[in-house]
Amino acid sequence: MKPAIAWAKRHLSMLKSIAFVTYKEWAAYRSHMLLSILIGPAFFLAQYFIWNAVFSARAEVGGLDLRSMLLYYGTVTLVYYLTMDFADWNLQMHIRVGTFLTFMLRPLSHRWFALSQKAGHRVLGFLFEFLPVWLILALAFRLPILPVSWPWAILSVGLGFLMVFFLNYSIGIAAFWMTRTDGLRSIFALFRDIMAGSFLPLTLFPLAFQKVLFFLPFQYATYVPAKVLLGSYELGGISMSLPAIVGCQAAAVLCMWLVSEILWRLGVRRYTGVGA
Amino acid sequence: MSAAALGSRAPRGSRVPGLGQLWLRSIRASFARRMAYRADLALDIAVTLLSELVGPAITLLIYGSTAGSGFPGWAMYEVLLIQSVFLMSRGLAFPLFMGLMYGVLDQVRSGRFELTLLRPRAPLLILVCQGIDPIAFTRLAGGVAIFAISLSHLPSPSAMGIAAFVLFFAFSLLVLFSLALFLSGTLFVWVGNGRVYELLDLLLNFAQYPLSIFPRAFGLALSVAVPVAMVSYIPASALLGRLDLTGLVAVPASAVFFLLSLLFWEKMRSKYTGADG
Repeated sequence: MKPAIAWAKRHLSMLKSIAFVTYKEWAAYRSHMLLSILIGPAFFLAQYFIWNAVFSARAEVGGLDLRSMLLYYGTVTLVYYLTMDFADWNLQMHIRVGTFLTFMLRPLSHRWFALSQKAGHRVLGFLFEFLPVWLILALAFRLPILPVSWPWAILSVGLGFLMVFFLNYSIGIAAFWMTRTDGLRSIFALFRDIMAGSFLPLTLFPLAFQKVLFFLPFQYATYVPAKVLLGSYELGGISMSLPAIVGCQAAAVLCMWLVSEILWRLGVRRYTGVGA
Repeated sequence: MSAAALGSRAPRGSRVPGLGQLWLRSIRASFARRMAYRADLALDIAVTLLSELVGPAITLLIYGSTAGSGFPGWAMYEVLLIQSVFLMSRGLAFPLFMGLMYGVLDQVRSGRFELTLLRPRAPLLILVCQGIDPIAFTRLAGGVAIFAISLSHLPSPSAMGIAAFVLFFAFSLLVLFSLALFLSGTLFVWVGNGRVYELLDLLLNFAQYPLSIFPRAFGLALSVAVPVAMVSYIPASALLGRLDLTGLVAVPASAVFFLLSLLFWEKMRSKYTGADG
């Protein structure tokens, strides 16, 4: 038991240090991050106009009324600021230019390092993106988005944070096989965003497609955290309580962690360092 | 703005390649660069085509979920026509000149912009040529296909409508070029800000829908202040025979927008201070 506690303590301490350094590093670019105050609400404004026009002719679309639709888009925007990362870009860049070699020599796995970096980056995102955009949505659009159940929402967003990381990291691992992965990463990001519900609530898709989406990991990255935050979950005609869907989300994250572990082991075997 | 000021004319008596030669060499270099990673290129083309279709797919889903009511006053194929014009305009702008944004972003951050300044042509022309990406013409394919499908479901446009469409489509490219100038101009002082692409997407997001879904003042701003309505809504409206006064107002507004963008870019360029080198 003791070695396990010592191992966990050591890793937590490393996570804290790396997150802090990443926070400091990215704080230098906080003006870039602050652009989210403009970009997030402006994208939301476009959705606001689009859906206002659509709902001017009818009261319900895909089981949602206008306010539910706007709440969904607002929540998705906020969830994005808490969970986004570019672990795929980072890993492929290190592999491509050769700097990955230095990570092989460090006393911690690159995955833990990247996850710690994400933690630091998202703390900054919480302060400079999430909080201002939350305020704008609450004050300008009168959409004060608060979780119906705080514990389940925090847990679900945390699992979404991990799911986005494992998904992106697994795609970054493809750089062990391909020198450039820009195309693969873009095509993956497109499908991920569509199937995670970033563009449209998943309940607007045809029912058969919704049923397929239920068994894919993508909904757990955005759709599930957003719906848990809003207090109810439904997809493909399946309604679930918050504990049940968060349980499914935890299982999906575990599966995705296993997938990334397998890909990692296969990929690292192929690695030959250059440059560094 | 004369051709000489834009650097499209080679200095007299020099052995500097002419504009056509420069253009061709840029295309050849870009093609060779992209062909180095063929698998990635194939995926890139696929994703470009697919990502361009997201907007029309959302429109189909909206009209599908609302039993065809969608945007009041607009039939589905009319909205798809607007979006296809948007895709065609982007499909020409990205391979031809939008690479300018990445050029400034990359060169200012790395300090290599000094080399561009040393070249015997206007930096803007050099950056546009360096950013040419012939592979990106594949973006056009999706737009052309949706354009043809939409038109086949709509009444045939008049000759006047077609002529107006061609004119407004040229202005559409001008507005996109102006946006590239404004956004890349900011990168001379806002070094390394990769989020300019999000700003571009943000502005163009409003160009993909009928102007009537926006409040009147906002719609006017999209036609005059930042005339993104010219990118797709106005050319498509001309083709549909639904053009109103905003279309005519947007023409001079787009020309002024272009001149302002050139002045802005030059002003920002003069503020460039080298780093790294």
